[in-house]
Amino acid sequence: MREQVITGDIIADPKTKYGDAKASTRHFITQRVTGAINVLFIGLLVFIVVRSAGQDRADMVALIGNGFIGIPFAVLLAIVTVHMRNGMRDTLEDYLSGATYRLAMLLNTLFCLAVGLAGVVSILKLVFWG
Amino acid sequence: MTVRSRPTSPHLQIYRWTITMAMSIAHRATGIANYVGSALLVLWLAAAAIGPEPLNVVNAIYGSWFGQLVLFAYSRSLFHHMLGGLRHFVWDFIEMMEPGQREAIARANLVASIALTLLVWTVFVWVR
Amino acid sequence: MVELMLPKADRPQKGKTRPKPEGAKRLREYHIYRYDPDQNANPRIDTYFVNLDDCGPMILDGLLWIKNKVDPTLTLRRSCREGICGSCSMNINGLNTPACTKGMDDSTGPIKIYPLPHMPVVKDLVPDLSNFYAQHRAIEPRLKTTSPTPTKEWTQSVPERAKLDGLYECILCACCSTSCPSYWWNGEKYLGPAALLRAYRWLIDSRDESTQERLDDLEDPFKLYRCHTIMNCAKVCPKGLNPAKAIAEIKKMMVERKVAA
Repeated sequence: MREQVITGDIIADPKTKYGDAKASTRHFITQRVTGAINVLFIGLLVFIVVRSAGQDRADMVALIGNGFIGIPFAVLLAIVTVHMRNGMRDTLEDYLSGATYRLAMLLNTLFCLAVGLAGVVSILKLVFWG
Repeated sequence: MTVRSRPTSPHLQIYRWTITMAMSIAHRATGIANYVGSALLVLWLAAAAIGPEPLNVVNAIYGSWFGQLVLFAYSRSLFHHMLGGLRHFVWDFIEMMEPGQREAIARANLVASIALTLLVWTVFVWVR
Repeated sequence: MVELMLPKADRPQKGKTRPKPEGAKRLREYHIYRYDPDQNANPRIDTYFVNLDDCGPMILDGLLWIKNKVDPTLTLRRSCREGICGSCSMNINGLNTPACTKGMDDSTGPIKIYPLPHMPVVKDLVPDLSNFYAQHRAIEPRLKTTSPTPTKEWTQSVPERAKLDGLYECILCACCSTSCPSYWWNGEKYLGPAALLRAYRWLIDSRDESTQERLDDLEDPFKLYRCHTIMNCAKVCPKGLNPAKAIAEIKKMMVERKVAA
């Protein structure tokens, strides 16, 4: 697919859209809300890492396997991946366009999905099956 | 008569650095670093979920001097991006946008992120 | 794909050095970007020496001294020579500013002068601002109303009028937009700080009756949301305006509208 050539007339037209208008404000809000929640994630992450970095598996099960720690951690990690995907979208929009952008965005979605799934499944495994 | 297309005037090459521009780039760079770094976290969690052997391997790698260096950089990146996000949050409410204020908050971002990283590593790792 | 480096043919090369004026005691060195559209060649950086005892104090004075006394081919825009018209804006020692309000004694060493950054260069220090102006057309910088036109004027209270202070004074010098990295990378799709400042000036004008329509038109990932609050715009505005703040206000209006819906 050829990229659209942007002429002066297109730029001067108040109605011109270069992307999804409604989604743009939603993405802006999502990025701020998830970013604020991520402060909690960092706090919990530091707590967990400090307590269990380099420790035996049994210690990690005792800590993360506790549902009151593991479940919030899994939820927060999932929110982090939303923030990751959104932030990377902003970056890709800055530097890429057309087919390259769409391909990069697809890879972005897959990576965030993989990180989110692997992380959440691992934590739930520790919580429910030890 | 045009013999060639109009050149683009120099930009990044000649523009004088401003602290707010540097911190904006740092915010993006740390964001990308955190994006990649999230794989380190998930790798550790997945290894723990699978069993003791993979966890031992990951612990050995992360515990090596190189692993510690990467983790230090990752933590620094996380803290910098978190504080940078708060800076943007403040700006989104139209605060700290006047001359002097915006440079001050950008500089504070840099100093606080270094201080927080060193504090966390000192308290929880180095003198534990 | 964005180009962080200039294409090979656009990179300035070392140019000519003109001899120092004879008998001059106080000199100032100028390094100036030159591009001649009639030559199939790269842009170049020429070196000139200005006789300070024969020249006014501002950088524009120095440029005109060179044009009058040394090299009449040096091309630049200028008009009012007092920071009102916005014609002589260029990149001086790394920051965008009108040359007429920048003193030579603000800096030491050679004065490095380039056209406004990341713009198509017509000749020497003259950039093509067509897109910049088209972006102002896009935000419809005029009163838009639906009510019947009053017999006298559209009235406005003093506090309502005061809201426009710090917004209406823009002189269209393009220093802010061309200082913005986001505008460098997406200068066609992103409206840029100058046009968005002007857009906000009409969004909060109490007499204007098309606020929602204006917001609808601005809402776009590229037209508005390329602003990442880098703040270069606010730093360089020669009139002391704050486009970054105006854009933040627009984003806030977008969010409030979305949350209310």
